[in-house]
Amino acid sequence: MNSRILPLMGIIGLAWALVFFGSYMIFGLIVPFEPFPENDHIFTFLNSLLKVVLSAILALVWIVIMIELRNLYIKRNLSA
Amino acid sequence: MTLLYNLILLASIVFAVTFSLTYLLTLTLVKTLPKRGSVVEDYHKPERPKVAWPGGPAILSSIVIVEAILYLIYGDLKILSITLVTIIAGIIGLIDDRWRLKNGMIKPLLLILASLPILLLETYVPYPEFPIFGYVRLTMVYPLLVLLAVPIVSNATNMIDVLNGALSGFIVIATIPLVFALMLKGDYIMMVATLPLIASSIAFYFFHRYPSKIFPGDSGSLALGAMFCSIAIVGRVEIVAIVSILPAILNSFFILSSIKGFIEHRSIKTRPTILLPDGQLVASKDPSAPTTLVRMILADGPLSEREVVSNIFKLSAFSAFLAVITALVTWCV
Repeated sequence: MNSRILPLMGIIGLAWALVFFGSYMIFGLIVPFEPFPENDHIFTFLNSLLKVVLSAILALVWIVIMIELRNLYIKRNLSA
Repeated sequence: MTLLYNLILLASIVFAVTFSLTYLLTLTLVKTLPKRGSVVEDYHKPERPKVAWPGGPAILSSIVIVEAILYLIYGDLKILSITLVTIIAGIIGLIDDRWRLKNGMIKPLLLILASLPILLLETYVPYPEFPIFGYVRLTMVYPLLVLLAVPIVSNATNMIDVLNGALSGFIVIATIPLVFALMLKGDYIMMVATLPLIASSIAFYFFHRYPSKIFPGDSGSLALGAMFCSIAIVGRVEIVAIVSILPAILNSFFILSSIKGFIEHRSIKTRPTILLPDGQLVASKDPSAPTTLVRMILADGPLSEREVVSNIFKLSAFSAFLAVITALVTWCV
């Protein structure tokens, strides 16, 4: 195996693992999460809002991790 | 046993017809396009040879002919959806090949039109199936995701079309897990409808591989990407498709995040790679150069164009392997 593509395979592997982990976090934990009692429209709205915000944060974390990995790879290999 | 025999026979005919059509049409274009002056320079070779372009019409017409016949045989709206999505994306690509759309936002916006057949024919199911925890209800969000998916995937395949044979080879490798997943699901009609994508890409690869005799152009790359995406949606193998196409998705994500926005790739001033006098490619050390997959592969030192493409294929094969695992976890565990 060509050693130069191993780190790139690592990035792809991590992206794959994060797709699994992220989707489990969103649909397995965040979607069923309802901290407010669903007996009022405002609470139903707050529950939905909270789910959207938490999912968006998770998506943002995925993006930040990918950008940081790219920066690390470029810094390590191209800054010399 | 008869059913299996008929399926193998039909799959073989579909594959052979698409392959032959693309091969013959591409051969014709390789001979006729240079006579009409329809050539572009191959920037990754010191002598900068003129290469016939665009080969997209050969890919597009052969896929559309075979898919249209399959639609007439089965009457399945999902096949019609795939055909229409591919036609619209191919036409947008042809417009870009002919008139060179300058604004980087126009192409993604136009490609939203290519998503419409899936929505209008209602050939999507808003319950994507995830590995381990199964179906997820996305009734409100899914149509929006369909609108975004076709432009994103088409542009991703368009952005990976930078070196000889990279796009056609990549599509072949990335589509194999889709066929595998559709087989696991027992959706044999969709499996057969996916074969033209592989057959056409293999036939085109014979002319597109190093040293290229023809380039697909945007008409080819957008049509192939849009078809891949429509198969993923109507075949309900979305997650497998996302994993399989990860190298292209990451490539476009890295480019867009490094240049900070949608810019037509022809208008990027700083090139990510530099051509050495011996024909080898080396990564640009200019911090303003976009971070592409090719630049990342070249970060460890210079390589020939052929070696870079071989590395892209290895990464694609790794992603395809992960996609196959995803399919097995989704439908067998």
